[in-house]
Amino acid sequence: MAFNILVVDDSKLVHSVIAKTLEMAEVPVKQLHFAENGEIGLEQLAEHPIDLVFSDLHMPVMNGMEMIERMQANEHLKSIPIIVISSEGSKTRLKHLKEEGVKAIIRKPFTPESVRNVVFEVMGIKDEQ
Amino acid sequence: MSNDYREHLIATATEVFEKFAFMFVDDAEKDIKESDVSMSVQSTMKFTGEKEGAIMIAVPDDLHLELAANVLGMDMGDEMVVEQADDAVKELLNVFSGHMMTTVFGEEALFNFCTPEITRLNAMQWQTLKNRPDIVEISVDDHPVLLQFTFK
Repeated sequence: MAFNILVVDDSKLVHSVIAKTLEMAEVPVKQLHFAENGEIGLEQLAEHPIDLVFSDLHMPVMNGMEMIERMQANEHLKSIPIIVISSEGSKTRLKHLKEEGVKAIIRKPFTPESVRNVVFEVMGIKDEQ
Repeated sequence: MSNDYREHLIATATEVFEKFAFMFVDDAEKDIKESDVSMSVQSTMKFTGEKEGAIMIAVPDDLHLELAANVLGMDMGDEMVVEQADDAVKELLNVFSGHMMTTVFGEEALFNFCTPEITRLNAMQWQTLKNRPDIVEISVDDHPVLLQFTFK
């Protein structure tokens, strides 16, 4: 099984780094989609069948929190697992994200191993490595 | 700047440069050499929340490209490295800021961050910035780097 993954971050560098990290982590990827903010992320979600979303929090136009809230309010989108990738370590923020339905939070900087572990856990894949 | 914040800045920068960019902070006290920095890049990010302030990092042009090349795992001359060099500094500052806030204000404090801004500095502007009393200078892979953390 391979996944269609949407990466929402305003940095093209982060898009490249996450793509490379997923490859290094041997996460099975069918197609990768990218969005520069939450608004474009929602457009991508309407256009493509997405299995997993990686999202940053702080972005112009529409931030990650607002995109997550809109996904949770949408019958078709609320079941898509969301992993937040952020440099923030505030427990208050993490608690709020979990309450909003976020499956996991990966703190930057991350390693391929940490990304692999989280993706496999969230997607219910048995890690045979 | 108090010695506590200075130590936090250096310790956090050391960890973030190493883990994010695979670059190493030299012994800050003894290894900073006088060097001519002709052009450089400054990135500043404001924050609001329990405190309001800003975090700034400034790096010389050559380190700017080296940083992007390391993060992307590419050669310095690669087109993508040149295109994304500003993004690399902004992302470094983003990671640095997130870690500084929990180090200084604890894990319960909540902050909102603005998008990092990029400014180009010439040699005179670099020198003026470097001479400010609240600037902390470190050496990363033999390049000078300026850090600033202000809040009220």
